[in-house]
Amino acid sequence: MSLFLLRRVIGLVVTLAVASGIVFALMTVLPGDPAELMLGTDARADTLQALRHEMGLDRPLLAQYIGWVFGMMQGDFGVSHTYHVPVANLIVERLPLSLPLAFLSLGMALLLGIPGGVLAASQEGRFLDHYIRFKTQVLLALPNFWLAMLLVFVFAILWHGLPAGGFPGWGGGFAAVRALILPTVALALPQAALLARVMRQAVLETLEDTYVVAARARGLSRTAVLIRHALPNAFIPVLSIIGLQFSFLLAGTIIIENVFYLPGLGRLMLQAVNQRDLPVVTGIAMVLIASVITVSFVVDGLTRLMDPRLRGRP
Amino acid sequence: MTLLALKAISLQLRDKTLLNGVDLSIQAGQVWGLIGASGSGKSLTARTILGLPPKGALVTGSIELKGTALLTLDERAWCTIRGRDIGVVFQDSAAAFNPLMTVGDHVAEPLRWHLGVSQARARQLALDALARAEFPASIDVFARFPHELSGGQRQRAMIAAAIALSPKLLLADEPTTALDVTTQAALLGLFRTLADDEGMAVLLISHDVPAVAMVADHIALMVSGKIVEHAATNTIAPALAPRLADLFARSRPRPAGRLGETGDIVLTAKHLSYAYRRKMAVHDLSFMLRRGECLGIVGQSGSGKSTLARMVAGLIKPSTGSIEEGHATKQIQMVFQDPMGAFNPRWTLGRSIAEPLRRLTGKAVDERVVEALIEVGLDPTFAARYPHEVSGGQAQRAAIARAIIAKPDVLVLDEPVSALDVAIRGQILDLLDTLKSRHGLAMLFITHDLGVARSIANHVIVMQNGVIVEEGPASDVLAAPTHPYTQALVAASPSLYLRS
Repeated sequence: MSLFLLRRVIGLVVTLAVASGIVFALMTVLPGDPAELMLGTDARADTLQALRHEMGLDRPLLAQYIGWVFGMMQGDFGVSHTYHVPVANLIVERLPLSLPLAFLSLGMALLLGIPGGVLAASQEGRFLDHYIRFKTQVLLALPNFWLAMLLVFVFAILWHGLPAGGFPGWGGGFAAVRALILPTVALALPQAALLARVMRQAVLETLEDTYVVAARARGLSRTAVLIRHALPNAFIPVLSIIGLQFSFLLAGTIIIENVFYLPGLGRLMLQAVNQRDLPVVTGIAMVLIASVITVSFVVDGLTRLMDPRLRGRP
Repeated sequence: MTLLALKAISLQLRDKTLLNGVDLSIQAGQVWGLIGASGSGKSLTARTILGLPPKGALVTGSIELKGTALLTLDERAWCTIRGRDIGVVFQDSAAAFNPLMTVGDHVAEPLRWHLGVSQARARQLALDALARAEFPASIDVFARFPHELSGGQRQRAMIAAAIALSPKLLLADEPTTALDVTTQAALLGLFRTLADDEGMAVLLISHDVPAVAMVADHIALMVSGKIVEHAATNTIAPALAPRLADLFARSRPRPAGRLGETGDIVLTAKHLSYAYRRKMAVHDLSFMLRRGECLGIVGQSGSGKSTLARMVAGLIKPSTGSIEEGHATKQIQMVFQDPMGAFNPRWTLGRSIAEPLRRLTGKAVDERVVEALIEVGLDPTFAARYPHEVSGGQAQRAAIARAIIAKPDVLVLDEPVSALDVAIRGQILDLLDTLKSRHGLAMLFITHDLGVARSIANHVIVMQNGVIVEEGPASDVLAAPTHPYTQALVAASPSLYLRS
């Protein structure tokens, strides 16, 4: 197990290094000079040169890269060109919204998707199965921003029961929770639909396995076989899908946060792109990359814990 | 007293009649062998007795177990009978265990389920069952997962789970097919013991006639969903049971001839060794292969014979030693055990067969494919078929066609008939024999089945733990083995010792 951990941690570091290299390379090849962006196109050449020197842009690329990486390790992601505050502060301000939103939507997707998939599989070919398959198909086909607008229309404009957007901050208590309900549902439903379909397929496949017939032959009822033998085996492949979904929910909130005017990472990212605020864009990109890599690391570990066949392997 | 009685059992699935009036009656303490080719309905009969026919199947007739009519039972009643009154052993022990559950918990499961006892008590009873199945007591079954045991150990554990509640009837569906001969013989003996000592009725399903004949009192032959003949094992006479008698005669292999050392040497292996994870899989092996000769490599699984085959075929490099090809040797081809797994499922057989012909294009390729198909006894239209559209025997013929299409000098065959029915096995062996003499092919034939080795090999090498323990002309070695390991193998081989 320790050898496995060591290898995976090395893998994690290498992946991060490669990803940061790519982000840095993109940043340097992009047209446009940050100093010129800050000062405007009619700035004087010597002022530009002075600013470039101050920002370290005249150093060799490798030195710039190493400086950038070491800065990030110490929590220094640079300074935003538009807000003139450290990027780290901007990100830390936004995380308390984006992280809970991702966790809430994932939780909801799991609560709806897993039982839905199992139910559909256990009723294969019957009404409930057809119903769940139809519903999930529709939800998968809906773009989530459109679903979001539909939810706003029904629950905020027609019914006035829930806020249409904005976020009062966690100090707002119950109001904060209410503000997150519609975004959570809009994010979670398509993911739940996907999860239900994947889970249904996985359960149906395991129900075909010989050990399921063998368990029936030992006298276990259909339900007991489903719970004891089919579900644990079906869940292992689904686990890696859940890992991917979490990454998607964390990174994929950009559109939803804009529909609901939520001050989260996604909205910050979109604004920064519009204003060509490179340090903010790369900072957020690196945070998202790191979280995606961490999640897949955790999922790998969980898979090994669940599947004894993998445990012995380094 | 009749324990199990099947009367006119028929099974229909999507307009196809798969079982067509099966009658069978078994007494307590009897071992019945149910033999037949694949697709004849043997396994389906077992699943019908167990009340688990395929989805959508329509079953008619009657099944009585100790006077209880089974087919009229509802699902709840079935759940009390399966596992308690009927135990089942499946063929593929690697697939029949839940990979996430320990082996011991599999054995304890029916005990907890049927008796409602505590986990500790169930585990204790499971250990008793394992002991009755002669499972090695040194293995901590509650800490071991299925993939950590050998095939033979898993099969014993599955028998333990099946007999844990001392069922009256034990169904064993090809229980020893995937195992090597000594394990196979021991397990068959175990079924006999269970019938004799515990009065269980055992229905042993198999396509391996000699193996079944070793332990069964009665043998029933199934053809196209019907039992066509049955007889007590010691009274099988051509007059009473012509098809069974014929099967027995055919499964007794005729020995291949001895060969003078005249052919050109096509391959010389010198001091071959192969180390894998610091263990010697093959150690200091030397042999010569001549044109027109079939060299049989026999041994149990783990003896290093497949490693040897891979080295000769050039798939892996020997750690030390060398393989020298004769000066006229151009090509070596290989045929694998699992014919279905050896083909790309998305390619037609014709495309797969043509693959070794890298330098040819167009019509010349098609002609060679047709030629090769005819040579292995397949219709040229098979070129357009996909692997899932042909039977196992036909797929193995196609695999041989692919191996010979480029006119190789040496053919390496790794258990080429182990996955096939007895009847088809004989046909494939005949085909290989013909190819050998027609083209002067040299063959390296890997097998764990001494009967097969005797019917095709001119010369055999017996391997144990990576070294040669005995070698010589096949007829001599297998008729009068001198090394204890060979003697044990020969003694455990039913196909060599079939009573006449």
